[in-house]
Amino acid sequence: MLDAFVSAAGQVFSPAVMGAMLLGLPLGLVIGLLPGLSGITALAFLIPFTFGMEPIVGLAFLLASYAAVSQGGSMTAIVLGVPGEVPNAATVIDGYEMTKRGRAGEAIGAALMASALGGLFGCVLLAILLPILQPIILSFASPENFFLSLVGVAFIAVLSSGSPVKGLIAGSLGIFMSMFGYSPTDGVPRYWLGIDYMLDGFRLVPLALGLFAMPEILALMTSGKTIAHSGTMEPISFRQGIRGALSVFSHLGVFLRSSALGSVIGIMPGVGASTATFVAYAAAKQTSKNPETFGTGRIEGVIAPESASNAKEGGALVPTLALGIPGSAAMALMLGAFMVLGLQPGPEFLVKHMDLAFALAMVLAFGNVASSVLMFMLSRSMIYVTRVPGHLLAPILLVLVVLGTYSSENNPIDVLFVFIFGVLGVAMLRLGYNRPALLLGFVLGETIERYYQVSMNAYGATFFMRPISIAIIAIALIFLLWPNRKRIALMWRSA
Amino acid sequence: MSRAELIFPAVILAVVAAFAGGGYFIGEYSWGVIAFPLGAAVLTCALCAIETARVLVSRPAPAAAPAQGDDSALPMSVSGLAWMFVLPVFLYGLGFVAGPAVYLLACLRSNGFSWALSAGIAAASVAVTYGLFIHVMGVLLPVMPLWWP
Repeated sequence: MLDAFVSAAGQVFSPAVMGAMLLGLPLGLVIGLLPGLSGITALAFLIPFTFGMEPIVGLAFLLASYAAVSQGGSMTAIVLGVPGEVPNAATVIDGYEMTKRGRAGEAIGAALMASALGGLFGCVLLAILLPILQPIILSFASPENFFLSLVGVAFIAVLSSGSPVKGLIAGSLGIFMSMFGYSPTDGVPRYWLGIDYMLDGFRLVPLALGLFAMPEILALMTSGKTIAHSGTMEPISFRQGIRGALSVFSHLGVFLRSSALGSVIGIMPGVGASTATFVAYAAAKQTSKNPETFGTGRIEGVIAPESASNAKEGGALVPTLALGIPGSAAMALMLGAFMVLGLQPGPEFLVKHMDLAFALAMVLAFGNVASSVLMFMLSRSMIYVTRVPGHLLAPILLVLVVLGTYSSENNPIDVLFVFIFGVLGVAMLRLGYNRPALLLGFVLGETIERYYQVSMNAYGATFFMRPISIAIIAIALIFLLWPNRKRIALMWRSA
Repeated sequence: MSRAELIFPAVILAVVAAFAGGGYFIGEYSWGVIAFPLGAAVLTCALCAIETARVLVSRPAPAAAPAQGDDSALPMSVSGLAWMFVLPVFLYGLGFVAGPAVYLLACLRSNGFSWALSAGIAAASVAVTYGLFIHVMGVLLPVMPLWWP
């Protein structure tokens, strides 16, 4: 094992691998800064460039750029209120509020430090789990995935603690919207109104950009004001960034919990990587002493989704390498890249190429840290964007959002839907409905239905009696009820 | 109580009920196909009904001052709103390369920015759409107008 680790370090620090990583990082950052373009786009765009490369060099190039995409996305989420990719939508909630209050530097520092350390957390976990992981992953079947998704949906209640009914309306509407198009197991189209586009249901990218980016663009377009209000604007400084970065250590519990959640969700194939950031955000809110202040510019609201977002990538690599089962859509592309480069991930891969597996964990860790440093260097100039008048900035952002939306599936109808969901987002924002709850419901609704039906078919009505399922339910109940433990104990005694 | 607070949940209720009812009575789906959407729809409608009732019985609250930095409470200018939603028309009429460029030029000029700045940003838009998206990234942006046969 130690030999494999030393060999991996030797491979990673070779000039060719370092050069490939340094080339991939800025490319990933540029794609991350474009709204709607995700790590999947980055991989799809960059895979052809790896033909003919040594496997470790090609994979280092891809993984470094992939790690950088998320950093670019969190930057636009904080500075502009426009999520670079879907998981960054959770960062908008508090990160953008901090920018509007002149604390952008602090938010960026916290986000980049949380991302870098979250990425390291996921990679260390990946390196530790690789040799022992196979039995753990194989013990998770559809019932366990069903209950994990159900736990994710339960977090809607946490997200909507400010106005419970409105939050639950948003969450249940999200679940309902996820059920348009082909049903997951029977393949029967539902509510498609004879429109071919609707056979695949509503799409995630137009929904996320419509709900989160469009209201902010509309506010800029109609008011003409700058993002950072002049009265509260503080020039971004190195000190401000450092203060934000250090806040990760003063909220170590939030960071560790979010990273662990992100890694676990990343490891589970099919649970949905977009879920990780919202669940981590809700968990941070749930365990906070002042949950009602979330959404007003709390630093924990930035740390939680950012650490989970990057930790999940290390987690998602685990089943990809160990079993040949991609943990996310991006990892499915990565699996293709492995094959292009002449490698076949799976149990055999770990036996033959353990050194390469360790090397990939190191590359991902390096990519996370290096892209954070690079982004921090860029952030000082990016912050000037917050001083650009709204009438100038909003049309440019709108064009970028539209191009990003189109590029996600090359479908012009997606562009129409980004405007339709934009209207929904504006109404929800103005009337105090919880937008993250709707997105979380949408991401998990279809997953819940699929795993429920597969579980019923495969295991019958007693599928919930499996030991791991019972353990998941118990842990979720403890986690959800923990903040109200004193009230429950009081009720128990009085009864 | 504002009218919008009442109308929004009522509209959601009506739309969701229409889809769910249509699926149940007209779609002739099997129970296995319709059970989950129906459950989600019933839950959504029930919650919307509760919210509508809550708004109806609640007393009108005095208008609260908007929080610092809360842009959602700002009044919307009609021209801003119009410029926001006119972009799809440009895209349909001129395609995804010329459309954004002409849109940016027109929008920025109408907002009082100089010809030089507006034209510069429009040119940059062409560089991004044609150069970055189409040539570098290989995204199949429609160059021709969408109505073009």
